[in-house]
Amino acid sequence: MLMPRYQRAGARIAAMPEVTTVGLQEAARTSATLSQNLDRLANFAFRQAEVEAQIKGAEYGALNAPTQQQLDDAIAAGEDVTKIVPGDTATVFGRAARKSALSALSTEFEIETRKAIVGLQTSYENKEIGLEQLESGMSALVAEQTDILRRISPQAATQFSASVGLVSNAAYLSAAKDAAKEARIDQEIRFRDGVNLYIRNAEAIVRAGATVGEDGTVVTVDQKIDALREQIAIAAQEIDDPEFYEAKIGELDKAIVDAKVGVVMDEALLYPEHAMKVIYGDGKFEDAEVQATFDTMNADEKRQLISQIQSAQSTKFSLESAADAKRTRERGERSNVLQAEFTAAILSDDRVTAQSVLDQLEAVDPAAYESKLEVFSTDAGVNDRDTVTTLRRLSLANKLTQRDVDNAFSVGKLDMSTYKEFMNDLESQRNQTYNKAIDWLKSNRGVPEGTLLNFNVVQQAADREVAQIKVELLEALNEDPSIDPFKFVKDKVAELEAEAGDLGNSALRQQAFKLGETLRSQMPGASAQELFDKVTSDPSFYPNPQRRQNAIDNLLPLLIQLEAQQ
Amino acid sequence: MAFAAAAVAGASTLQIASAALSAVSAIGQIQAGRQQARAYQAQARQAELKGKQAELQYRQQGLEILRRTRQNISTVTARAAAGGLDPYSGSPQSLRNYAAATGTEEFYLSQENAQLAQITGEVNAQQYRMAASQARRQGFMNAIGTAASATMAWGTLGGAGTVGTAVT
Repeated sequence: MLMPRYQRAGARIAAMPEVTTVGLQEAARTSATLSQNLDRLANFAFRQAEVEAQIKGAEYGALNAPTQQQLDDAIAAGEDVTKIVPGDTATVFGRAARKSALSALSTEFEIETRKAIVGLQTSYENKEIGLEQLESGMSALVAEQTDILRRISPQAATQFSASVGLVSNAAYLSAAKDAAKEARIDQEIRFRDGVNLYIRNAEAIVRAGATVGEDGTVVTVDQKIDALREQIAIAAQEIDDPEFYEAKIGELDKAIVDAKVGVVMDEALLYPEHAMKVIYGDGKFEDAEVQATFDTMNADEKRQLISQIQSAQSTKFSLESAADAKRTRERGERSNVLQAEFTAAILSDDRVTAQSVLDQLEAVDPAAYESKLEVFSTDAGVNDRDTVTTLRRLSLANKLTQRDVDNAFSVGKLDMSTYKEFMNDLESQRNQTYNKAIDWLKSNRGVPEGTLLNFNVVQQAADREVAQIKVELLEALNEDPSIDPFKFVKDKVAELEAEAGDLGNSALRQQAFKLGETLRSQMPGASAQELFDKVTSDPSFYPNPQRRQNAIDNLLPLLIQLEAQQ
Repeated sequence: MAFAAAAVAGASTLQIASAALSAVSAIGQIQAGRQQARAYQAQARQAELKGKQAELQYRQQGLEILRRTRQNISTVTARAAAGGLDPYSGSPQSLRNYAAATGTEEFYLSQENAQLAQITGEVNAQQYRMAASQARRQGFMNAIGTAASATMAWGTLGGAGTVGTAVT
């Protein structure tokens, strides 16, 4: 018999239950959140406080920054210079104060140093110190200031040294460039001056000719010149100026040619004809050195030599000619003076003085002497109308000479008064204002230029008017030499035109003369009166009614008057 | 209010925009805390249910153990009697004692497990409720922190009306 044994149902102790701690975790997170927020606010507040501390520290440092003088005094007194700088390195305020103070101090150092550098630069520019002194001065200045600052803050000293070092280096570099430039200019001046000296010595070298050295070597002129060329080339290379080389080589060549020509010219000017023969291959120069120099000349140089010899001769001839002309002019002036004195003596009937002047004139101007001697030995004659007219027209044409007047007087065709008038006219012709006034008068009245004969009625009228005004002008000038000839003749012309009416109107006279010439083409040889009668009686002779009426009323009556004056 | 109005009147557009955004952020943080709290409350209820469910399972297991124990004892008694043996002495009694002792042991074990499950559920629910409370608090704290930060930042910005004028 089987009886069952109780079998376990398998109940066991339950597994460890999963108990969550989320509540505690959240509580912890709440605390953490609270803490974080409080930290955030606290940090914010601390940052603000730090900023405020930095600002206040910086202000404090700036206000209490030591001066360079205080530093110098502290160093001199052997004190610890770090103690006079406000602030510290442990706190925000202290660091800011120290940084600000160091910055202010460094800035002051830099300003003072820059001033000192500028002072050194000024001294250098004023040539009070040299470049080396400038460099040593700036180096010492920067080193000294840096050393002082380093006692307080090596970092600030390094920054100061770097900053001021840039300034001092720039200043030194600028000064060095200036110095180099000046040195370069000085060197260039020396080279240029040296080259100019070479060129100036070219003539001496050419004149010296070939020379013998101490070792017996003969050095020719060409060799010496080549040496000069090399020197010029070296100088041009030194100053790096190709144009200078070209210019100076040209000058040297010209100087050599001039020197050669000059050497030969010395003898050629003494014997130009012989020199020309030698140049063209006939003979030799007397001086051996001259001949040697001539032998070194090429064709172009010989052409220049010939040209200069010819130019020198031409100049010589020109000078001689000018001297002759001067003597002739002086003699003529002297003759004119003596003739004027003679005329004055004759007109004043002072024959003793006239004789004395004649004696002087004989030596100065024999022709004038002969002419005046005739006058002296002739009594005054009677005016010959044609002679007077001719002389007057010569005068108007500025062709009248004393000889013309003397000849007319000598043959008895002038009385003393007319002789005096023409002499005064000649004398007045030296006055430019007088001449201008007469030229204007002639132009105004219508006197033709360069014509002495065959005056028409209008020209004759103008000739008479000019002669009349001219005589009046001469008389006026005789009485008062200070009057204005130009104004005088203008006034006289105005008076003449007012008194004579149409007869004094030169323009109208010209119109009348032209009308007469036109009408005479139909009636050759007719007088003005005949033309008037024809125009009056025969309208077809001059058909234009308006012009015909003007001819009858004005022009032909004027022409009749002009012809009547002849 | 008058101070706030004066501050807003002297503020720039960017200042006002920053303050507005901070305010929105604070409100959002409060809302986030509340939402998180609701989630924890739901989890708390779920933990309670889970504890109850486990407790019932263990209790059902205890009843099953009792049924099997009674069944074993009855079987032993019946078979001993049928076999002419005294069911209350000797081997049958030993088998019956064994069944009673072992079944009782297992029954109490299941009862203790049920109790443990119930306590566990309550503890977890309590934790979730506590977490919900903390989440709500965190939302408020974050909002206060944001508002405070914004206020302090606003105060440090300064303006024409907050700085001293130069004395001439």
